[in-house]
Amino acid sequence: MIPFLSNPEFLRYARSQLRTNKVVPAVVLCLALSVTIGFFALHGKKTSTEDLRMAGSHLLETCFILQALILAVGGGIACLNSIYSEKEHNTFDYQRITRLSSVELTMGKLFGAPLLMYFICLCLTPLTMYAATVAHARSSFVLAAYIALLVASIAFHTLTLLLSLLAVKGSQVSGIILALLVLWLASADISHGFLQIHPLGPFEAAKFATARSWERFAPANVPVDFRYWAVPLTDLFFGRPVYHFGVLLAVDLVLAGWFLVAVLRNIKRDPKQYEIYSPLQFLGLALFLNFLIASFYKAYWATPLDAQSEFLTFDLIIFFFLGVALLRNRERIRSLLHNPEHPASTLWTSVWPAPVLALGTLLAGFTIVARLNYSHNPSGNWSLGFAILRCIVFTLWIVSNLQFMQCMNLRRGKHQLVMAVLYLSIYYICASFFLSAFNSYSDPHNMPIGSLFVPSALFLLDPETWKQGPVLWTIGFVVQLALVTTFFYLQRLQVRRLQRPSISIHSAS
Amino acid sequence: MIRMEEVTKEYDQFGAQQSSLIAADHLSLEVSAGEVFGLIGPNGAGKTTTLKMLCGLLAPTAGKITVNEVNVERQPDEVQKHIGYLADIFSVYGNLKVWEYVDHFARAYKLKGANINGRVREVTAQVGLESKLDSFVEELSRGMKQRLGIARAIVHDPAVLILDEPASGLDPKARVELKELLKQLNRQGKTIFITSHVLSDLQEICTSLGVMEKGKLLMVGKIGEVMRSAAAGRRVYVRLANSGFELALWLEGRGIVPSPPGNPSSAVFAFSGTDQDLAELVQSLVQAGAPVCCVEEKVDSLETIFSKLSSGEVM
Repeated sequence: MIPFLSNPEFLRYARSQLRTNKVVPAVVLCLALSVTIGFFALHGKKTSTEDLRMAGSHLLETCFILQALILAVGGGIACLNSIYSEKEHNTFDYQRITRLSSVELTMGKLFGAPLLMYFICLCLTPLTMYAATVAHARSSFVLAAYIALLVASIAFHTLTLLLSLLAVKGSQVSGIILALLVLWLASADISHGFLQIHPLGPFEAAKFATARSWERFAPANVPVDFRYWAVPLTDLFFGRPVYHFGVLLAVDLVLAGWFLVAVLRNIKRDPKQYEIYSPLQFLGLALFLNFLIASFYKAYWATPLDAQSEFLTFDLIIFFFLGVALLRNRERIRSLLHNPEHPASTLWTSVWPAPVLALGTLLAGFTIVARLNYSHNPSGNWSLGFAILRCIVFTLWIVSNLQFMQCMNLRRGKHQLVMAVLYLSIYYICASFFLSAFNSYSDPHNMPIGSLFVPSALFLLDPETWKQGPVLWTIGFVVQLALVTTFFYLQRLQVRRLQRPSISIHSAS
Repeated sequence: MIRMEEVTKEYDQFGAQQSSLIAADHLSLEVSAGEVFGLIGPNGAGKTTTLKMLCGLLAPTAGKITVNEVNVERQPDEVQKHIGYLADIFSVYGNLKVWEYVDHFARAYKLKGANINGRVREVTAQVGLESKLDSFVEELSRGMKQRLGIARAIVHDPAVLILDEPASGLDPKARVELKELLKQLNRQGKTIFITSHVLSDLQEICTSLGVMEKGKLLMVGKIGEVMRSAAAGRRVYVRLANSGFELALWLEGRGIVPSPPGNPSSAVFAFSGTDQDLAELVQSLVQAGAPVCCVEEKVDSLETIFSKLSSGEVM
């Protein structure tokens, strides 16, 4: 392993980004910015010590927001460009065939690409320190703010590096939009409604810097209706107050780890053979995300049935996105089928990714059911049998959708996966409009019919609603089963075509 | 040194005609150490795909590739010790200086720190860029960039060089310099696997040759063998000092039909015998009183052979 500062990729970025012609303008710009912001923030605020302290506090907050913006957004875009633009300029192939290991290449890019942004942040540190002095901020808070800024930015950089690796020609703008969306989500109030946790993004550093005390809220003082501004620096982990700073570090570092795993696994591979996660890694990440949601999920809920329905909705998002990461393209399937030593079986390839997805969704679903069933007093409409049935229906729904996408991905054509997402979106949007028109979501009598088209209605299936139309509910269940079987069959046809000995089309043309 | 066994690469091609494309169709070949192997073929024959599979950039759909006894697919990091690669599409980091560029790859190929500076100077001198060490890469001419690319490919002293169209876009002077550089590298013991459309250059530097078309190797072997077998027998040219001897008549008397007929003082004819048979024929001709002043074996150029092969004339 090469020592970090001798990492060739890091050195390359350092040499190209920290030249005098870039460093001098950066320093001058930061100096001008520091003087201007400092002057406007503190000018005329010397009427009282408290006024000055408040102005200093606002300046400190501004400094951290500015640094978060530079490091997270600027650095994120630099990371997003790092692999993508090298692929565009055909220099990435040369990186892949050096003797640098995946870890060395990834670390070089992760810390090298945003190097200029780190430098600019460093140039803004004097102003931050000055603001901290004026605000009488405690040094431990300023240090904590810098650590949070760094960790959250690195987590975001790893995500953008992964997006950069996966981006194909023409998708860079989509990548930037997606990355900014994630950054916004991580910085927004995610506690609202379901999760009792403060934002996990780099902008949170501003709050740490201006905090007055490390005291976390005592359990008795945490309001039932958790709002992050009401309990600063405190999150609720399985209902117990914990320090937000520790949570931010832990969650961001673990998420960064998961993104890194995907980058490391693929960075030196032939891009046509990318496989974002292995089945085990997929299961690990899916269960980790479920654990994360379960642990910060609101401590009080109306009924276990509602809680399960909300968990299944979260899982819908988690398993859909992670399921897409499991999909294989034609080239990957060909290589697996034609592997001279361990050719993949046609059956396994034909049902991929159903077994892994099913295992993940059932594991997550049953764990939640177990928790709801045994930790709280089940209310009247809670039935263990129906809870398990809901998990199974959810699994079938996810599997049928992902199996459809896998089938589409095995069709010959350039953007088959995009087409699959488009078809699914159009179907669900249209179906939702029709079902809303017929009150299928609110009227218990129409819910069974709705479940035939959009199975989310089954998330609220309980003994009472079952009685409204047992035959229709059963048909809804069978429809999902039939869809899965149909897509298995269609996929098997595609796999068989790919398995056949190749016939040179050259000779046919 | 390089061994390909039943290597196949199948692609999907998109566009008006959506179909599978077999860029490499069960390719098997072996290149020994110290050889210069030229792979020729028309555009789209699968040459670049083959080279990319050789250095591990593309995974073959089926088959096995080893370089210096190291499996390219199974030990991708290990195999890079033995391979230096130059792609057909030109690409360098323009914002680095020449020494920084070579230094970057020296480190990336894990050369020992103490040796790096020396090695950077050595390879830049070898490719004739020692005076440009402090210039930015983007300021170099195309020929110089190509030489820089070769410096990058040889910085870790690999046993095998894989070069894809290294002469494309170079002016005649730069081409000659490149050719000399490749000869020099071969003399140092490097095995070179090269593709090029400049067939006259390949004819000069290659020891072995493969002709590829539509993903298949049409012919492969030592360059002499390939050229002879593709030429479908040898052709001999005889010229007399004057036209006083009926050369065509004499040859026809021995069952040899010269082409084109009619020129009394010279003839070109196909000859299927051995070198000894040819010597005896010339001796008889002299004894018959012909004033022979020139006997020459006509050899087709690589261009001619390639056009014959690719048109199916020799298949």
